[in-house]
Amino acid sequence: MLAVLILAEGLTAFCALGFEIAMARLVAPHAGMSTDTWTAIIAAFLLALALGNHIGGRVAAASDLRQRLCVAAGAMLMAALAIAAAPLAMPWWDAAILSAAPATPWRIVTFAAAPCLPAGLALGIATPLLMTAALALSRSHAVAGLVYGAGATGSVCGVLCVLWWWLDVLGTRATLLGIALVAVIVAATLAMIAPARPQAALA
Amino acid sequence: MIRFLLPLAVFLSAASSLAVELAIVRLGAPYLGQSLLPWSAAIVSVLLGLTIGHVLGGLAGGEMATSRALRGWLSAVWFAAGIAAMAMPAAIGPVAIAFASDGGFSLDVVAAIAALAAPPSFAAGFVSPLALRLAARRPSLALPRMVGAIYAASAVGSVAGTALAGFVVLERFGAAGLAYLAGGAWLALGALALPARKAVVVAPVYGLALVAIGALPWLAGKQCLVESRYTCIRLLDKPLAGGDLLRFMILDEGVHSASDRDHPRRLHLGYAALADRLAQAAFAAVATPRALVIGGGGATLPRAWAHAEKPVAATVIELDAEVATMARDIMWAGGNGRLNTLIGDGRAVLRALPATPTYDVVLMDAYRSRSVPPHLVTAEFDRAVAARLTPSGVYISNVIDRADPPLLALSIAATLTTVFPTVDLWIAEAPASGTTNIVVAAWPSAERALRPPRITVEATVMDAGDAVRTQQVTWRRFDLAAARAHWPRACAAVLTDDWTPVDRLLAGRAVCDHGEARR
Repeated sequence: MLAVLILAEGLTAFCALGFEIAMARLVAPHAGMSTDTWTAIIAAFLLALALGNHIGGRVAAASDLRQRLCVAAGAMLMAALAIAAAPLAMPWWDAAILSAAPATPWRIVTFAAAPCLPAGLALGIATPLLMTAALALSRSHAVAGLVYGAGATGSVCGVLCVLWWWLDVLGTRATLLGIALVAVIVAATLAMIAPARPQAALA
Repeated sequence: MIRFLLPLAVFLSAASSLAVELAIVRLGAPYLGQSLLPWSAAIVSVLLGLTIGHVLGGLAGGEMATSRALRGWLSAVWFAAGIAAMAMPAAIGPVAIAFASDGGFSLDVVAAIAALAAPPSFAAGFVSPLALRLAARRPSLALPRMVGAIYAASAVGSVAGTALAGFVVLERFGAAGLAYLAGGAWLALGALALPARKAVVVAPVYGLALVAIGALPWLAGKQCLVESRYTCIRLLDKPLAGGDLLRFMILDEGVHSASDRDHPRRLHLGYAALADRLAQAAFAAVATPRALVIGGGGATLPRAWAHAEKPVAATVIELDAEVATMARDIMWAGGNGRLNTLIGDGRAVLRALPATPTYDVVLMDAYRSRSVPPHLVTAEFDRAVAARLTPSGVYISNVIDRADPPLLALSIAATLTTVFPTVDLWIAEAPASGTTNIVVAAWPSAERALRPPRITVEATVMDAGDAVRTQQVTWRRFDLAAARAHWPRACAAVLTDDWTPVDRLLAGRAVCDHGEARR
């Protein structure tokens, strides 16, 4: 189970970085590609991720292994929905925010930032739950390094895969669907490996 | 107290890691540009360094390491990260030159420069697992909550690093300043984390290291005249006959403009002279011509048009405010009321302009590191341009494509044929083999189009000895059918907002299957 958790952490990071890169392409036809849009995407996504991390940490403190894995699975499913829905929301979001004055900085920043929030929040909830589940399962704190390492490796793979392969071959919308599919697979795997019965309290 | 100090330290360390990633790309930009390859190499280098650091951070000091020992490790890795980050600016030049080949800066240089970001990232990678292990040593702290707090601090730190670098530090202190700032933050953390008893032993060593680091800024020198949030701006002046002066504007690694101080109408770059000839055909048809230029650079062409016998009112869209300022003040594009510059992304600003036929010429000349922003070459973008072009006008797209066959230029032309009835590619003939530009011209009206088989212009070239001379450049016209006959195996794909593999096309890699699927 520990190996699956480490792999899940890596795939979660894959989804996170891949989503950020693909969102920049999704936003560009509407709001352009500038420091404003890049920073809005990165900042909104990571701030939502940070809030999710905080929530995930609090959930982990009050739950056993089964609950942690179930909540993490639910968060990954929510992330998948948010990632898949982003391209569908763009025309509506453009009409609501951007179309009145497309070159206005605050509109550009708002337009680029908001679609990143739901996915960032959901992915952020999952990661500390996976880390605490791994720490609870392992007798050694060295596992913390392995989980972090898996996250960084997943980030590298997410960047390279999306930038050099998926965007070129699949296009932006299908790339986002592909990332959502990875999140669904992680969610299903976590739900499957979650113990059937409640566990004793964990550290 | 440690409940707050650990997340704060992780926050600062994460901000510094992001700063190092941005700094290494910008420090290498004068040699390599900022295309997909250097960016990818930097990301891989930083994240690989972090990965190894994370794994070793879980093992450092052994399973039974005391809190004091873990603090000692934290202090050591922060010092190491700080020193490695501050050494980057001084190391860039020697590394680039050492790995350069006769053909210029190759993959080896990309990898070597990116590798400079690995040591600080490796050291920074230790931080999060060490912080978690320190938290786990404190029974008073709820570990799951600390896990959440440390993750959150890392994410917020990344935001802070990105925003501060992009909006403040790069413009004020440059890429080298960014590296020193990140390194300084790590050194400060290292000093604060130093266990008191070890300080007596280690402090002199760290002190000596700091003195050495203090000398590095002088060794690094200054590469750029001005650093903006997007690019390194440099100028190169070349004297011309009769005491005239030709000034090149260099953005990162490439020449973007060449302006003649004494003769605003004289165009020295071959593609600019050709674009001018095509534009004049459209300007001639109207009494008060207007032009829209997307990607101003040194604003050489709009400056020339504004100084024509029948002056053109030119609107320039430039993403980089610093570049626009340099064009106005240093490249002599200011002082003429007919030039209006709008700062912003070309697509976003174009959307904001009324969708009525206003401009007789639209010139697309937005580039960075020889790669065009994908959202400025799609069918949707072309339709937005067409809506703002007069019926007798012309849309001119400058394409930098060195590949044979030129897949990007062919694809841009194929995309334009979905919107405009008449589309030509203009390609320099063999004697001007140094020319890497292809000019694509799209006309709303075939009857008004300027379509001779060849156009010859004068261009200024620089020889190996850096002397400038004038040469004739002949441009040959291909319509898309002729281009397809010339390169029968080349695939010209229609680019859309959803699918625009610009870098793959520039690398000469086939996309035909995907392109055909989207037609």
